[in-house]
Amino acid sequence: MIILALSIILFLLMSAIADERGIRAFFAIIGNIVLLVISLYLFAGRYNIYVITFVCGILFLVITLFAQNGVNVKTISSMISIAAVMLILVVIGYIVVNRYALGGFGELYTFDEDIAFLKNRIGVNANDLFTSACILGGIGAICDTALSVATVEYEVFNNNKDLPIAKLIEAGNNVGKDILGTTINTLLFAQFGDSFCIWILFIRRKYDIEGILNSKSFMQAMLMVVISSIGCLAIIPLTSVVMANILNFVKKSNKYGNLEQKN
Amino acid sequence: MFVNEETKKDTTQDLKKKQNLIKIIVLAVMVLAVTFVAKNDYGMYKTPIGRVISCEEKVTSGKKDIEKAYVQTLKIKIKNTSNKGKVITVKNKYTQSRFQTTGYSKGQDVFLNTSGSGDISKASVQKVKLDYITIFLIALFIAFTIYVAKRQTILILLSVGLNIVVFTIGLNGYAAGKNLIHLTAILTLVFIFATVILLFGFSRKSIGTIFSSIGTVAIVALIYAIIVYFSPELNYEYVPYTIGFENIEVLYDTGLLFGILGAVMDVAITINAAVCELIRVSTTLTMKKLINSIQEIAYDIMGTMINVVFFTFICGEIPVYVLKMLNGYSFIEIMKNGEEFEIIRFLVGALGIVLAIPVSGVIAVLVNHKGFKAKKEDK
Repeated sequence: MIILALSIILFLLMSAIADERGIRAFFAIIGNIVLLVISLYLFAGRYNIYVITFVCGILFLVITLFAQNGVNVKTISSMISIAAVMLILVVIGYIVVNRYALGGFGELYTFDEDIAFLKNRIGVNANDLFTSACILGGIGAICDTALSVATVEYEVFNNNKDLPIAKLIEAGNNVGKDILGTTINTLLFAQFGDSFCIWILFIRRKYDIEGILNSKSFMQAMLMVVISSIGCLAIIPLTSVVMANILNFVKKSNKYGNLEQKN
Repeated sequence: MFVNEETKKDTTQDLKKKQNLIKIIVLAVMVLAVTFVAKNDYGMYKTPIGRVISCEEKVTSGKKDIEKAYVQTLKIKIKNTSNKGKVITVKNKYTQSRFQTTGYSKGQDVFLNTSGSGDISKASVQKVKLDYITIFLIALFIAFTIYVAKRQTILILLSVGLNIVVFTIGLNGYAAGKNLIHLTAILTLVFIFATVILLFGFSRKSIGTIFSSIGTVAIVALIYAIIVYFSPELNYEYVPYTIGFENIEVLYDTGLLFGILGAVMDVAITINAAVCELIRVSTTLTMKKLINSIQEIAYDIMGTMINVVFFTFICGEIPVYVLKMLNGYSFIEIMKNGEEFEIIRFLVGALGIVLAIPVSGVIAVLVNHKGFKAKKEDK
């Protein structure tokens, strides 16, 4: 009921405020939800988790970037750089999560009642699932950052077609640095809201500093923000370089007249 | 003469590069030093800690079992307490899924559990030592902020610090269970105020952002409260980490509100900054043009911001979804039985983002009223 009511209000507002683009965005969300359900069934099918994560990540990007923003230079270069960053994150995630055994139930989760009723020897590696959750969780923020950098570089290029590559890259990097602060702020608050109750449990159970620093529940909450932040950080120079090179290539082949957004 | 100027330019650029490199090296060394100290702080713990120096593994499950089970024979060297230096042998069982069990590996530092008897040779492994990673990440964050933001570093760190302090004071209030709604309202205001002022200083932009954020959050809270009032009661026992609490609904609502603050502030600052810039830079400006520009920005940021909250809120629960699905629930059943909370978080976040656009637009124009009027009359 609540979900239905919220969805209807959201749809009405989105179409009122952003017209056709708003409605497109709404359906992109529905597409993402469907893809998420499919990927969950694939995870449950005990196939290789990293492959599913990477493939579904790319498909999420296809829906988010192409269906919502059209196929153009900005989205294509964002897609390439995000795919590269995802590979890096998979490697980092694999090493860190396995080395420090961060998957599975944190010590605070085991107090919850519903866990007692769930059989947890299910044949799927919890470390891999957790890595996958962190990476997929970061896709949104990484996508936002990449698209902002690409958009600004495109506008700069449009106003100044003779700019050398180095200057384009510099412009992209500057934009990225500006929005990095607010993006990480968003991620921090989102994670804080999610794990609000963990903090209250820390106080109620009288954890000292050593307890919190060594707490698996705490690390689990932090890791998602950390991996998303690493992704956002790495995507800025990557998108700048990829976009600048694509724009340069297009300029050299004199085809920039065809670059108008196919919306 | 010409040649001398060229070489002068080269040397200043070289100098800048060298200074940059020195900065990076110094920061990196400091981060690593702090981490090294944290890694070797065994003496600060009363619980025995050991390092795994060898690990032998055997598969104990049969071919028909759903998942493999292993037994590890670990040789652990004690690093603190009176047993320092001793090497003990510990057996550890774990399964492939690793939800409630852990497989350890060579080189890990682990906490040991002597289960009351105090006899170290009968100890079992409790968990992995994690403090140095947390400290490494915090040090890295500070070093990175220093490198990138320079002047603003202190502001950013102060803002984070202030948020943490306020939060800790507020937490004690929550833990005691008193006056939760007042506390939430106060904390929300303080978070918004502290973050915006310390990040962006005192300017029309910041004031506009603060009021836009407060306005948006208030409207979202109102809409949510009305919907909840008219809907059947949710099963709040399913909210994770809330075991033993009396007032779970209020705690969930609070977490909901705090979670969307970041996204709302992001949208508010974008629109307020844009409106300020437009009014400052344009020679003539009509209300229609202004609304058009705000709509253009809205098109761009709405889609991507909503995706940010979608992935952050919903994908975090993937391990639990998969766990429940492999216990026989279908996706719809999972949603009806407790996982709807993440979807509600996402929807409320999206609502906040969408509402922040018109609210920020209106407030930005009001705050910049004088400047806007001047530009209007210039026509």
